[in-house]
Amino acid sequence: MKSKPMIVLVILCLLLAACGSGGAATPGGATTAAPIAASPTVEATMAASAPVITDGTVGAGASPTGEAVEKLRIAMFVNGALGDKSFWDSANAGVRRANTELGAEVRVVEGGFDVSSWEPALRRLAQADYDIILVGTFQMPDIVNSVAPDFPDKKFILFDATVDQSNVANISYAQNEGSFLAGVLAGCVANSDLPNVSGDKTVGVVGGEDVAVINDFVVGYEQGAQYVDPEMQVLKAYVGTGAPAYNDPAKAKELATAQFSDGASIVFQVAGGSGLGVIDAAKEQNRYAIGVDSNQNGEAPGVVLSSMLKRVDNSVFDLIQMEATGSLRTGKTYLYGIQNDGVGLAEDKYYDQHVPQECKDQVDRAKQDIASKKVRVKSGFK
Amino acid sequence: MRQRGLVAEVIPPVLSLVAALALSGLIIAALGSSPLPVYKALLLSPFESLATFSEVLVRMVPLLLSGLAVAVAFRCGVFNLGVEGQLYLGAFAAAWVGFALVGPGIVLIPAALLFGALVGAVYAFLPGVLRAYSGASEIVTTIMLNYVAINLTTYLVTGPFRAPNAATADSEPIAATAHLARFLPESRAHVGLFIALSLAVGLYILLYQTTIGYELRMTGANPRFAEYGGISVRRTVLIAMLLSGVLAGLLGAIEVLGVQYRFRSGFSPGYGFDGITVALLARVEPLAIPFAAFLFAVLRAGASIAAVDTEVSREVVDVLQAIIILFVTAEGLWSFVRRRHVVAAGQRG
Repeated sequence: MKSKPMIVLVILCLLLAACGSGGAATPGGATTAAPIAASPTVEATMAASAPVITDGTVGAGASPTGEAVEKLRIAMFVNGALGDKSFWDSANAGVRRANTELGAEVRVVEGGFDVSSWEPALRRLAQADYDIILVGTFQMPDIVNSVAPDFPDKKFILFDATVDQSNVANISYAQNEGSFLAGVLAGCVANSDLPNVSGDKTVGVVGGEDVAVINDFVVGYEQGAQYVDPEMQVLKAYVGTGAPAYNDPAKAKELATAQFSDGASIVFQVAGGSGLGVIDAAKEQNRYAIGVDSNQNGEAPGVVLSSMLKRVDNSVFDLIQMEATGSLRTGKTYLYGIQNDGVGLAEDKYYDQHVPQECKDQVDRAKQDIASKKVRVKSGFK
Repeated sequence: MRQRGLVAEVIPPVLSLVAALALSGLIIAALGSSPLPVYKALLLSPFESLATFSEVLVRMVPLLLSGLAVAVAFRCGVFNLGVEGQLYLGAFAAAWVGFALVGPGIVLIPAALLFGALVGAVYAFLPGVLRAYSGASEIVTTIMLNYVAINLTTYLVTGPFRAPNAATADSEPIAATAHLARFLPESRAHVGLFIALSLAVGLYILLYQTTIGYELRMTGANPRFAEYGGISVRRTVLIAMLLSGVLAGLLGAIEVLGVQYRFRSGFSPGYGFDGITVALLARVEPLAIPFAAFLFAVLRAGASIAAVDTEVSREVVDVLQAIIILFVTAEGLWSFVRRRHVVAAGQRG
């Protein structure tokens, strides 16, 4: 019998299985490119400077006033894990800020990567004694739709996705606007006299996968680049499909390297964890990159010229603060765009130091153009 | 070996469990928390109410079916490590029936289950043929084919079968008539559990009461002896792989019809590999597999309760879960190895 080698293999498999139960084998978690759900009610335009409420249905949530002085109890359900240095850590920073600044009691629960375990976990959290339950990402709407109606006196905040429930307040991000600015920066840099530009009128973008939310970034970026120069060519590539697409830096590096050799001066990454590969490629090829979600400028100073920020922390904190003052309205969608610091470029010391003044001016002008509705940024959601 | 006393069968796993709990208690204490609330959440909370207990039942179904799928191949000496890929294809096939066809549940549900089982079987047939006729190691081919299946289904729901307006790579929802009935109020426990349990009994009968079962076991115990005795080893290996694929395909189909209600790319947290542990824990005995799957399910349900109820971080709970499974399975593995040794010694002697 050949049983001995077989047994060794079986033991190896057991080890694999043990790891698998810890989450390594499971996709579906916190992708840092942090997509949002397609929402027919949210138009990708901005109006006033306060968070914009779209969707005119009447909020029928629990009584919003009277309990403002009481200590808020907040729970956030993370369908994945903290520590991504991006989307979830940003959301976590928002609720922690609610703890320090508003004295709210805060509890963050990490749900892990087993998709089928999220619903019972959220349900259990909803049964516990919390005033607001925060939930995020496009993977959760179905589950929120199933859980929220069973807890009519609890309030839910769903960020980066939308549902139509009377006790849920949604947060939506205008990532197409932020990406427009990234496109303006890219287009301007490609035409600038920075030392490492290729000289071609070409820029690139590497997306995680070919889905609406990523295309919301891509469409805005392309429009921004061509806003600077209508002849600007925008190379597009996608890492793959599904959750692994956001965790494959090697593939992203390959794609970005190809774009650089096709003449791109700068590549925008919209691929979560894969995006570090784009930054690597830019370093190796002596070109430029733009980060996403969180500030990645420091990853490679002078190479990563800026990052398109999605300020999950600000938005989450804002809504908690609204609840504290009794002004949070459920059954609505709060839109975070350029106007209310929901999205924007990371303008830190690296940006100041490495981006040509002309490009900074162009970015500032673009911001005003979006705010004044001189420019209407296209959406990746159809 | 099945005549061994019940006490002798039960005591080692219980001792393993106690040892595992002691070790994990030390770890939790070293991290500055009290182990008792974690024990409670992990092992007792799943039983605290009908709602929590029903979640155990929900989680038990895929673990049970995966254990059976692995076991039927194991018994024939074949290592089907492709259950994961087969269940993905089965799940997609069942979902396709659910969203592409319309009809009453009495037609749709059997059609979806059968189609899922069929697709799973066909996908397992491939490595089965390679093993039987060219001697290609099914361990390698099944693992490789997992990637093909998982990525193929992801392609299908990001490309041709993506639900319109969906932000995620999911198929359209299946018809409501295709949902498996839920048998407890306000819970997700569905009748797939009874299908799975009857399959465990069915597999037992097949293995111990039929000619095919005898041939499977003989081939697993000693293929040369089986061949000498007039059993076609090739045919038997193929049958084992087909049965394994059927069970894997059904697993996927039942998850879709009972829990997910649509095909979600990447929905399985590695059920196909959990099945290996479940099967070994149950000493590859069909009637013991439901109990092993139940223990796993309690730990899984308990882990998500622990994440909500205790301050111990998710990673620590995962570590505890892994320690318990490792200890309990190591015991099962040891007796599995010992048994193989006896067989091997018998062959030599």
